[in-house]
Amino acid sequence: MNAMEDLIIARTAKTPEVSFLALDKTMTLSGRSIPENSIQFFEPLLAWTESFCKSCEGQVEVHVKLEYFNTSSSKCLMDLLKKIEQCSCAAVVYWYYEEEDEDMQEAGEDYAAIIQLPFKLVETSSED
Amino acid sequence: MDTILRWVEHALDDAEVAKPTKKRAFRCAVEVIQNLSKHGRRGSFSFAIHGDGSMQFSSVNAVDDLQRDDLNVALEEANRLPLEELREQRLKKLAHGSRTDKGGAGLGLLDLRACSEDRVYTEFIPCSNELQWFVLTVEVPLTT
Repeated sequence: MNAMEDLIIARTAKTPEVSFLALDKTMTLSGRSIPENSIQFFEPLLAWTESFCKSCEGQVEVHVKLEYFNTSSSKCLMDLLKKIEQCSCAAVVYWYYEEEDEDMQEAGEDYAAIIQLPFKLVETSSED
Repeated sequence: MDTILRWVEHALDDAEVAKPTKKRAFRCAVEVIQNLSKHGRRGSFSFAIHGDGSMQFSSVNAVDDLQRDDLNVALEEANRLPLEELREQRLKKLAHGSRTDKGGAGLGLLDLRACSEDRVYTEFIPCSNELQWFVLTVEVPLTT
């Protein structure tokens, strides 16, 4: 069986950097997610996750380090986390927010309330 | 759209507001602009920073009667709840709301109310037999 390829997408002004590493079992989103067509951007991420989750073992770490996201991205992010929720392996979500950024902290708390996965809210310095 | 967002960012940088406030204002700007680009056939966007410490984003776009009726339904739903119950409503939509053809499950207006602390103003102005201008104005306090 061929090893699964990683999914790497460079960040743009409106889309986040994507680093989904199959062997490392880490999935990281960082930057901004404000594309006009979020469904189109997230489609390959969902496809990769579905494929990865079918055969993964052990524990996967999901790191969400978003500076901003628009409302259509928030729905797509929910779809992504729901897919991970159904993974054959265990998963932990690390949700990063800058100090004093209550909006992003609340967003993390909202996802944690809906998704049945361990969530760790990580406060970062705004200088990071 | 990228250029407009860069202008908004520069204006916020110049205003020297706290980073969380800047992020909140920018989020509002993104939603107003994307609302315009998704729903409008013709339109304009403007923004201003006022002396009272608020930033205003306005969009104007032409809508037909059908779009006006859809907007009225969405506005009525978005304005139904008091501000303090918005988070719960957003949670429900996020968890269970079916995606609209615009991709956001109707979360945009709720988010605008939240990020502006309920300073969202809308108006329909007749412009021809078939069309009216939909004016959306959002004010974000820049001081805490």
